[in-house]
Amino acid sequence: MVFSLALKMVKSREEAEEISQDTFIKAYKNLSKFKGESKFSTWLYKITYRTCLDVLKKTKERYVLDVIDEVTINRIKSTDTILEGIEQKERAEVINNCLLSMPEEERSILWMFYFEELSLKEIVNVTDFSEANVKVKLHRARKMLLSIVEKNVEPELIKHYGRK
Amino acid sequence: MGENKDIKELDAFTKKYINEIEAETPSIDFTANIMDAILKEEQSSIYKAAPLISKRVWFVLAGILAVSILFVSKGASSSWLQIPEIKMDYLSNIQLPNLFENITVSNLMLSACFFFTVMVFVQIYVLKNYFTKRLKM
Repeated sequence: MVFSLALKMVKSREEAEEISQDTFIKAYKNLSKFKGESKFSTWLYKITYRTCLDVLKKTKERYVLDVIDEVTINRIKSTDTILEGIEQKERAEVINNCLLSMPEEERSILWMFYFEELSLKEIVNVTDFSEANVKVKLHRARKMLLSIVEKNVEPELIKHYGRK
Repeated sequence: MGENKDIKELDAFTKKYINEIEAETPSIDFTANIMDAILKEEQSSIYKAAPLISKRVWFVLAGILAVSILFVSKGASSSWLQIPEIKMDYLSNIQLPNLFENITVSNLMLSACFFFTVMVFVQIYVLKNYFTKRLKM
């Protein structure tokens, strides 16, 4: 899971492997500093997150945030219907690509919350953001993902209809 | 209320699709690489030089020295601790024959001895560095 979080944050497999390796070595060296105040996995995630941020600082990737429109149930439903029409494997790939095109902060929070199933408190612990901040970011991330998926799926839909 | 419903719907949507993404696994030799790296770490920590006299012991020694200096300087004047005076007069009474009376040493010889001593110390320093470097490898 350390590897998958690292991969979602830095995107490159080689870098993610290197980061995971660093994480385990750091954890091993600092095992005495782990006081059991949080779950061991949360502690491990925290080290991973920090190491990733250090790597990302060097590459200095900057995103231009899209303006996110208000989310309505209709928009969610229509995107859902389109996604349902795509084969599962392909769908997972589409979502993965959309996720990877998000800014790394939102992307990692989304990943920790939904995929790794960390609680809000645990994410607060890992990222050192305040709880309110994490909530805001999480909400923004959800909206962002929906917008990106919509944009990506639209041409897909036209292609689908075009084939028919 | 409407906004809450939107959030819930969006939450369900995100959860559904993110969970479909397959977790990626690192390469096969990933674990072996980590174990190698940790073993290397371990070995290098075994050869780590530890000072013969630790900082704590130095502090204790410094403390003892400070206390004893204070004790002697103050205690000497107090009545209960009188250090008996040792008579050193007899030392001047002993007359040793001067063995080196007839030997003269040239300035050149003196400076040679001086440089020799300096070079010995330099060599100690260089050798020490050389061996610590070799052991680190």
